[in-house]
Amino acid sequence: MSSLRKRLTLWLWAAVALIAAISVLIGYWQAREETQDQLDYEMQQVVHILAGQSFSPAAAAPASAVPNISPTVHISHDEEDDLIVSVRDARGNLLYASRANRQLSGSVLPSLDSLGFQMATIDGESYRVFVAQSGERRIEIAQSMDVIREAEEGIALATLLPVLLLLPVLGLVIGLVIRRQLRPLNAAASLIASRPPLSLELLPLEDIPREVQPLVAEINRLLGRLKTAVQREQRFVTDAAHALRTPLTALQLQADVLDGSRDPDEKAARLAQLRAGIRRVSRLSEQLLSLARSESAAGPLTVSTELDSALEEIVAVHAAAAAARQITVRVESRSRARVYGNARRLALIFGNLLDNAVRYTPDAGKVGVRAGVEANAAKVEVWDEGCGLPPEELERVFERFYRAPGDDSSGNGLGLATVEALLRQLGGRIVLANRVDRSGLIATVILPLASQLEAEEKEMAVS
Amino acid sequence: MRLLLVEDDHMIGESLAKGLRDDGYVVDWVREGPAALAALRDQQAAYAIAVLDWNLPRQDGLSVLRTLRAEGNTLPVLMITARDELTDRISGLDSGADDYLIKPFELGELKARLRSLLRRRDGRTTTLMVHADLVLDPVTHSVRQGEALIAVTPREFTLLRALLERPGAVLSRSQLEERLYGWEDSVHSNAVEFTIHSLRRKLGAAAIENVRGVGWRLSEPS
Repeated sequence: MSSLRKRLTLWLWAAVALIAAISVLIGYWQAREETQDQLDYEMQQVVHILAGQSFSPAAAAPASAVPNISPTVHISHDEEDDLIVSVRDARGNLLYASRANRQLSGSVLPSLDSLGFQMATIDGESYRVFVAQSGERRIEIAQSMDVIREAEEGIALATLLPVLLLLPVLGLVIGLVIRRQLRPLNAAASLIASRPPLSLELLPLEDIPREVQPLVAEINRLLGRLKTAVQREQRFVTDAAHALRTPLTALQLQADVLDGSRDPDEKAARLAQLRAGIRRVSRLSEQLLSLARSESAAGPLTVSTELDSALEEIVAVHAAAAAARQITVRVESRSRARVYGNARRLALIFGNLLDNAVRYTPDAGKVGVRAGVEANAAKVEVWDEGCGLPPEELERVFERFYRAPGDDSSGNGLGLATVEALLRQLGGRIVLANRVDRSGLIATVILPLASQLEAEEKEMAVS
Repeated sequence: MRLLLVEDDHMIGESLAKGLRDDGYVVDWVREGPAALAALRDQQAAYAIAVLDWNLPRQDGLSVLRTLRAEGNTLPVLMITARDELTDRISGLDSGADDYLIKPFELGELKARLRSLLRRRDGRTTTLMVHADLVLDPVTHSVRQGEALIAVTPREFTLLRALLERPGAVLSRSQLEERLYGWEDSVHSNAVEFTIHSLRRKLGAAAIENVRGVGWRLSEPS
C-alpha cells in the first residue's frame, strides 16, 4: 500500500487503538482493585456489626443443625451480594448463620483456622472469606467469587464500551483530518497533471507544504535540466534543417540544370556537379551525425587511449586522400602520452582537423602533426600550408554552420564546431592561429593527460 | 537581359548561373555583399533584375538591399534565403525585396518569378512580349511572326527581348552589348551588328530599323 494517506490513517488509528487498549486495561485493573477493596470493606463492616450483636442461646441448641435466624439480627445487604455469614462461640457452636448459608451443603461455612481474608473452595466454588475473632465469637463471612467476577465484568464493560464505540469514529476523524491536510499535495498533483504533456515550465512553490518543497524543488531542477537539454536538441534540429537547405537547394538546382542541357559534354559536366552536390549532402549528414553524437557523449570519457598510435592511424587514413593531390602528411614528434577519450572520439577530433588541413593546402604541399606534453597536458599541433584565416575569423569558424567568406570548399561549417564540442567534453580545448613563418594555419589542441607512458612502464616493471 | 546573381554558395551559384543563362539571361555572379553593392551601383551594367541571397559574407543581402533602396534604385530584386520565418519574410519584403523565394526551390519557380517581376516592371499583363506581328514567349523561348515560328539563337533571342521590352525605344550599341554580354564574355566589336543582321534576315529587313548614330529599334507597323 503506497498511499500515504491510507498508511497514515491506518497507523495513527492503530496507535490510538493500542494506547486506548492499554489505558482500558490499566483502568480495568484499578477498578477491579477498588471493587475488591470495596467488597472487603463491606465484609469488614458486616463483621463489625455482628461483633456487637447478641444472639439468643436457644439458637445455639446443638440439636438444631440449622439455627434460626435471630430476628434481632438484621444485616442489610444487596441480595446479589449474597454474603454468607456464620457466627460461632468459643466452643464452635453456631450462633448465627445467614439465610444464604442454607444453600450450602451442611448449611454452614466450614470453620477456618486462620484469621483475615483468604480464598476458600467450598462445594467446588470459589469464595472470598473473611474470618474475625471478636471476644469469644468467631465470625466468618464469605462471598462467592462469581459475584465478584460479575462486578468486575461490569466494570470492564463500562470502561471498554465507550472506547470500542469511539474507535471507528476516531478512525473516520483521523482519515478526514489527514485527507484535509494532504489536500495541498493533491492540488500539487493535479497541477502537474493538468499541465500540457510537453510543458517544461517550473512548478510554483508557494502553496506546497514545507515537507514536500524539497521534492518539488528537485523536480524543478530536473525540469530545468530537461528544458536546457530539449532546447539544445531543438536548436540542433533547427540548425541541422537549415544546414540541409543550402546543399539541398544546390542539388535541386543541379538536377534542374541537368534537365535543361542537351549537349552531351555539357550534360556530363552538369552530372558531375550533381554528383559533387550529392557527396556534399552525404558529408553534411555524416557531420551532423558526429555532431549529434558529440552533443550526447561520443563514447565514454573515462577510457584512455595512447595518443601517438591513435594519431598515426588517423594520419594513415588521411594520407591516401592527400596523396591524390601530392600532399604529404606526417607525424613530426611523439608525445608518449595517454589521453582521455576512446579511439573513435580522437579520430573524430583529429580527422576533422586533418581534413581541413589537407583541404586548404595547395597541391603538392605539406601537412604536419606535432605531438608533445606541455604543462602536464598533451598538446597536438596540426599545421598546413593553406592561406590561413583573417584574424577576425579565427574564433568565428568554431560557430556551427559558419563558413569563412570566400571559402569555396564543399565544407558546411560543422567540422570545427564538432571538434570543439568533442574536446570540451574531455576538458580539452582548441586554438587556431596563423603561421608566422609562411601562410598556413596551426590548430593547437590541448588534452588532459591520462598518464604518461614512462610512468606506466615503471608501474609495469614493479608489478 | 542582364541579371545580377548574388550568391555565396559555390554550387548554388554555379547552377543558378547556368540555369539562368540557359534561359537567355546574361548572368553576372558575385559572392559577397560589398561586391554586389558595387555591381548594382554600376549604372553602365544596366541590370534588368537581381537575384540576391540573404546570407552573404561581409555584408548581408538585406543590408545591401536597404542601401540600394535608400539610394533610390528601383531594380527588381528577388531574394533567396533559407530563412522561412514569417518575420524574416516580412522584413525581407519591407526592406525592398520585390519577391522572396525560400530555399530549397526549383529553378522553374525562380524563372517564373523573374518573368513575373519583369512583366510587372514593364507594365505588361502577359508574359508574352508583343509588337506588331512579332510575339516573343520568354517561357518557351519561341518567337513568332504572324503564324510563322522563327528559329532564333539564344543571343538573337536576348537581343530581340531587349528591343521588345520597350517597343519603339532606341537602344544604343553599348546598351545592347550590356544586355547581351556578362563580365565573363568577351565582346567582339561588331557582335551587335552581326546579331541584328541575322535577325533581319530571319524577320525581314524592315523588322528592325537603324537610327543612324543612335542605335536600333523595332519598326512601327506600317
